[in-house]
Amino acid sequence: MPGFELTDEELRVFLQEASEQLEILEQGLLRFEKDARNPALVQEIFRAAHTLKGGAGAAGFQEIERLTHVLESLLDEVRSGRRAVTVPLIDRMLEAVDALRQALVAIENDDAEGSAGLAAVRSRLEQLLAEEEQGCLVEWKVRVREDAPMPSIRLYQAQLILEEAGVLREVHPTAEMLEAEEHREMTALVLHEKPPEEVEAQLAALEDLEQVAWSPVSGGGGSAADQAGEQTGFGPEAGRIQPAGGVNGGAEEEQQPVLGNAGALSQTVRVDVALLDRLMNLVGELVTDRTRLQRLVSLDADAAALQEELEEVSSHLSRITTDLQESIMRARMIPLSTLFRKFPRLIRDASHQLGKEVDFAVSGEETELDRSVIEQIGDPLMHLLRNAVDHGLEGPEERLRKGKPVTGRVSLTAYHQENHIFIEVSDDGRGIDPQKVLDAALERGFVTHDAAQNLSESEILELLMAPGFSTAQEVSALSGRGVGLDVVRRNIERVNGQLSVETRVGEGTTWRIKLPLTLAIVQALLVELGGDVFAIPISNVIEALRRWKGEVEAAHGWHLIRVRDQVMPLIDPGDMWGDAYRVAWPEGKPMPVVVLQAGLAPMALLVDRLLGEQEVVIKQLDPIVGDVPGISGASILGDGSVALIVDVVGLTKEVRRRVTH
Amino acid sequence: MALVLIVDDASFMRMRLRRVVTEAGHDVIEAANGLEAIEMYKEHKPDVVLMDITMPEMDGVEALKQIIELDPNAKVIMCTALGQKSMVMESVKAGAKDFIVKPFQPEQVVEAVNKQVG
Repeated sequence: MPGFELTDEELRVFLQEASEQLEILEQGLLRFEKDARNPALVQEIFRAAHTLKGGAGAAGFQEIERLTHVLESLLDEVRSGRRAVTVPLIDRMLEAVDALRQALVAIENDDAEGSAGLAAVRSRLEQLLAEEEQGCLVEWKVRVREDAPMPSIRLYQAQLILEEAGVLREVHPTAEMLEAEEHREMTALVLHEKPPEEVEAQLAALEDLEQVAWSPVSGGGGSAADQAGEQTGFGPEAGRIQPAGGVNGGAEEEQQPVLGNAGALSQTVRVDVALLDRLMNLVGELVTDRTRLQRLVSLDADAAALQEELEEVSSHLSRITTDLQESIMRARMIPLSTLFRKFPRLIRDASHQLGKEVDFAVSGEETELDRSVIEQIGDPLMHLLRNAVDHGLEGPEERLRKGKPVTGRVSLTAYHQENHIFIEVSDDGRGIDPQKVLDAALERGFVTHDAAQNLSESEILELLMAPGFSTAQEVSALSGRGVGLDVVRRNIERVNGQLSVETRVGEGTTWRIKLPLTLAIVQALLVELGGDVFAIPISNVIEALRRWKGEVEAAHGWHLIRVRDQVMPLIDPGDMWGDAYRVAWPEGKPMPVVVLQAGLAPMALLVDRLLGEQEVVIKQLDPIVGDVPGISGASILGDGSVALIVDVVGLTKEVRRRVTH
Repeated sequence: MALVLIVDDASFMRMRLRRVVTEAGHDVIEAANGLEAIEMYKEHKPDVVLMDITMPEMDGVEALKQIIELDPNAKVIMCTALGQKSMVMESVKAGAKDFIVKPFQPEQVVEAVNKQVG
């Protein structure tokens, strides 16, 4: 316990910093698996552990300090090449990260029990540290055929492959010896990071080799066969690291992904000072209104004057409260990255548990949404991602058989289109066969035979999301009993979202969550047209440039400009939104042109002036205005003026429609 | 089927290699020295390069290095004669994927090329 009392402020800073370091540590460890040779990465992880240790020491949290000390020692060995990066090593270190995170929560809640788990985790790490050789030490023998020319170079090629496989401890003959004279045989001692079987296949592909043999050295031998299947094929070590007793009880719990509740966000938000100032101003205006109202009571005036004054105050009040509401909503916006950054870990754990290799790609995490929406979609997304790994992706053998890459692909994408935010979870797995869904639905009485005749494919897929429906062939611990899709859909509908699915048998499945844009914010390029301000979502803008009138060509009813090698249509806003917006284009002056990306081919929009970039809150247009093609909403800018938001997808569609008619 | 760039200053060697490689079902383009090889590589992005070592203008080892710089995944097979061991070693260090030693059998060439393609 602390030798001196920490002030609340100190404690708060410590906790904040410690959790940031843990975040770095975790993200780093996850990247580590794919990029263990990157010295900058090792350094970054090491530094995070070191900082954490220092802080915990200074704050007097001894258990945290001790645990991070062991972590640091392990990382130091990795850094200096004395320890190989293996899956079990990363597993144990991630376990430590989880335990530390729990301990921080316990400290925050003043819960003395919280750090109890740290000692157990530490002793497991110490065990790792005590084992001299981590990773699997393998002796290799390679021999070149008698009649092969330049055998030394073949051996050198083999050496390069072994260097890639892990840490090359000893090798005979060395590269210099190979360079100086001819050798036909080589022995090497390698601390493996890659499975030896994989390396053997690489070596076997070299020409002129007569013999390629390997055998594990020391410790972990023997049980390779019975352990190999379980853990990413990295046989002996995977088994050895798990201590015989003590940990087994925990195995069951470890099956549970660390992410208890994906939606749990920190209870605080950072708010821009400018926004707070704005809120303060608005509240100031409210106070003025209050005074005016109070004054009315004592005012000696006739009914007509009173009514006029009342009307004025109430219209002012309504403007202020609307503004206030919008600003508060703005303050509640947070980027999706706060949620998305938890998912790589989830995918990793799930894929290891299932023995699948998964490449996970995330994009669009900068998109901002209201925190309540983000909280609501955390669990559904977690579910969809786990489903994608568990049911979507085939196992490695099945993928090989189908001629697909062994590593499956799962992607999480967020983007803004027309009036909505879309979040997609895709996999390149087996897809969903509508016929199987229908058969299961009939069998379980979800539909009658008569009704089944008339169902479209998408209606059949809808059945997947009906309560209690599941087609999972085997129930896996990971995804539960296919409960879930109905719950997922309900959660999404709670925030006015929609869930849909697209699938192709054998090619993969995409789950798409469509969320309303009422609260959304986009980064936009502001341009001036006919004296009005238009905001173009920056995600649709490729570039802005200037063109002379003489550079415009005409063909097939299009006006065309050339941007580098690409010819693209040029849209005059006057043609879209009426003559008031037609851009006057003097001969002697180049005008700004914004190149837009929507669909496959880019288009260019002529504008009067470029105003700059800004974040804007999108508001739906009132239905009275009607449906204006190419405009998706409006936004009120900082100075109170209104900007129309360009719907680039709708705009390009409309342009194409007009030209083809 | 792959696109194979054959680099050799001797037109006889190019002719022979071309026949062997086209008979194995691949397309062939040719260059007569290292400088030409780099130009051809930039322009055509061949799948495999068969690179002679001793050539005028720019030798094979230098050409290999520049090609690897353009495209770290370039698949270059060095064609060498006995006695050029140190240059082959240098090539392998610089990123050559394989080497074949003259005089080579047609099967050897085809196998080396196919291995890089597969």
